Amino acid sequence: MKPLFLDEYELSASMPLRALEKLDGAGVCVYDVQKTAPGKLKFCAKSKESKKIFAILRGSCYTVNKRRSVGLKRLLQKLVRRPGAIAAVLAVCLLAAAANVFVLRVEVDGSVRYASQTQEILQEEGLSLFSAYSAENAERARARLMRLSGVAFVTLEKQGCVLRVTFQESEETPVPEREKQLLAPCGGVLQELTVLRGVPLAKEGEEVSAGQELAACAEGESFAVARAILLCEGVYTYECADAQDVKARAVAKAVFLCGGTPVGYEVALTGSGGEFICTVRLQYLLRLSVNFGENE
Amino acid sequence: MRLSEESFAALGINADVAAGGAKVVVYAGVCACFENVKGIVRLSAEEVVLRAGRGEVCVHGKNLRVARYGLGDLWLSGAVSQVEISEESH
Repeated sequence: MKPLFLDEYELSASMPLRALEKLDGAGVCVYDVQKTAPGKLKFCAKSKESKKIFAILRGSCYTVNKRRSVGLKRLLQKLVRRPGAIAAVLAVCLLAAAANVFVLRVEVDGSVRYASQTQEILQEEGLSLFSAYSAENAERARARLMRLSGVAFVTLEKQGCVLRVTFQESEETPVPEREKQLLAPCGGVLQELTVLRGVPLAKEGEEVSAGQELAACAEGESFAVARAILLCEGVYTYECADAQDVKARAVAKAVFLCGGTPVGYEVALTGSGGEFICTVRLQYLLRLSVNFGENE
Repeated sequence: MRLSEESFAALGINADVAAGGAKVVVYAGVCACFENVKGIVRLSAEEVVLRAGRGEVCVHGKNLRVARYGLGDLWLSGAVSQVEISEESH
């Protein structure tokens, strides 16, 4: 293999090939020997043997001149004459290396529903956009992401300046959340309230309004077990053209619509000719419960 | 080749010294390698004459160039078409 650092020489003599024998005898290896003109030779030799070559051929009938550097030595000499180019290349390399340290983009794979939570957790652990990447912070963030519900496994990898978060969701059906409170769907009088687990928030005989909390889960618990019976009153109207059995039909409609057990009713009929309006004031019992069926 | 090397090794002598002549290896169309070269007698793109330990080697071809010469070894690049070995000087 040719050495990397070579110099080119020009040899002039009446018998220039004899000079090569002298150099060979002194252990100097020459490369790319070419005859350029009668009595003239061009060859290359190792740069570090330059002094040796001149010493061997000094005082003889050979004229030797070093013309230029060849190979890697020539390239290095060109580069040294262009310090700006070297500085620019070094600056680009440093910039590329430094940019690799920062997180310039975050990608979430595997599941999009964790995207917002992922961004929050990464920000809290110091891995937000344009922040420096740290393996310790990444491990802490990964531990927090693993605790999200429905997540089986999470990986955090830095690929260049992109932080890739990959989720593996659990294939098991999540346990449904149990109700924590018993609400009154409509206004009425609370006839009965039974709370097996939780705290009662209304008394029997109390008049309650729609949406009022009747019972709630106790502090530190995740669900309540309660049932209640409300005595409610509703007004329903029934329109028809035929007065025959209109009251019965109106009451039937009211019972169907109330959704509870009828207790009593009052019916009023108005109208004449082909238009009758039957108004039914229905009292009914409404049974409510939360998580009660699992404990019976 | 192996038999001759084993024979020289058994006799305890260097094969090149025992032979005395040039050793030529030709890679057709690519280059040629010579050992035991004492000097270059003639050099041109079509003809190269080398002085070996005993006699001379004359190489004919195209685009011949001495790629490396030193310590008795010479690499000739180019398309070597003919090699003549003689025990007489030119």
